Amino acid sequence: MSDLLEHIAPTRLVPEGHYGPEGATGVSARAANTSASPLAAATLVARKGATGRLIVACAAAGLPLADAPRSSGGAGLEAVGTGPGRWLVLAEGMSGPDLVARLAGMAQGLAAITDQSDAHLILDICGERARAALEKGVTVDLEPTVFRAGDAATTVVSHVGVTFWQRDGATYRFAVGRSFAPAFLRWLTVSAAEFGFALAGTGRG
Amino acid sequence: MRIPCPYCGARSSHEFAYLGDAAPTRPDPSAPDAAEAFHSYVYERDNPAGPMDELWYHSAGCRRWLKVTRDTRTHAITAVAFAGTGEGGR
Ligand SMILES: [Zn+2]
Repeated sequence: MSDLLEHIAPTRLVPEGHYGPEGATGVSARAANTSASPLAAATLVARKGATGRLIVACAAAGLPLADAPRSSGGAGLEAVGTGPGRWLVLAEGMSGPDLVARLAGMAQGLAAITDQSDAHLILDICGERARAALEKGVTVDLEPTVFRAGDAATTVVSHVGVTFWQRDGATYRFAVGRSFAPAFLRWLTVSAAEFGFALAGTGRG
Repeated sequence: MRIPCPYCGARSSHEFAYLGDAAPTRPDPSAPDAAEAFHSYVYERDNPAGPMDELWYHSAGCRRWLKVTRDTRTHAITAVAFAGTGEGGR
């Protein structure tokens, strides 16, 4: 891929550190689900014909859901639309089984709920040049007037399937299948290095 | 070619898997002419030059089947909807 990654095994996460020109950090990325900071995840899928009722039930329990590629937050949870009647739900500082139980209580039998806590690397990407780096592989239009805070997309980056959403003006959160995360991080590292890239939370790779 | 998915928005065709003609419907297997009807269903296809209804699966996006009306001469897409009859094409 490039000299930058020559000595990093393609099967391992890119180790935390600084890549590219010294003294510049145009892009920062941090793994958000590490053993030090657990982040539970689950998929919430409406039963056939029950999407509308599920949205009403979850809203009543404090979690607003949009049946659209959007993220929303409430009741300490973060929900992201990944398809019609389908969401990925994240919860900080909670265990997977606790999140599943919590969602089951909210959904009142209107949804299938599956623990996905081990499924993804969750990566928060920010910095002045984050968009410039992401645009090298993301084919969704990230122009701020088009892709705004709360917008989400499930798509392919460098042949790797991802779901990502913009959390606020400055941060993109990516969920990448765990076994594909080394390849995604290699793409991100070579794409961001020219701006100065600070990577944290991946340990020694 | 970009396909405007009703859920995801406009996406590159490489996110999709192509099935082909959306017109054939599965014959009744208990009908007396089932063997001939299935032969036609499986093998016989029109090859129109112009607008055609096709099935595309958004495998790398929302994972829904879409019915896409595409002009086979120009790739111009004039209509897209979820395939199937339920909400979100389910
Ligand atoms: Zn889609």
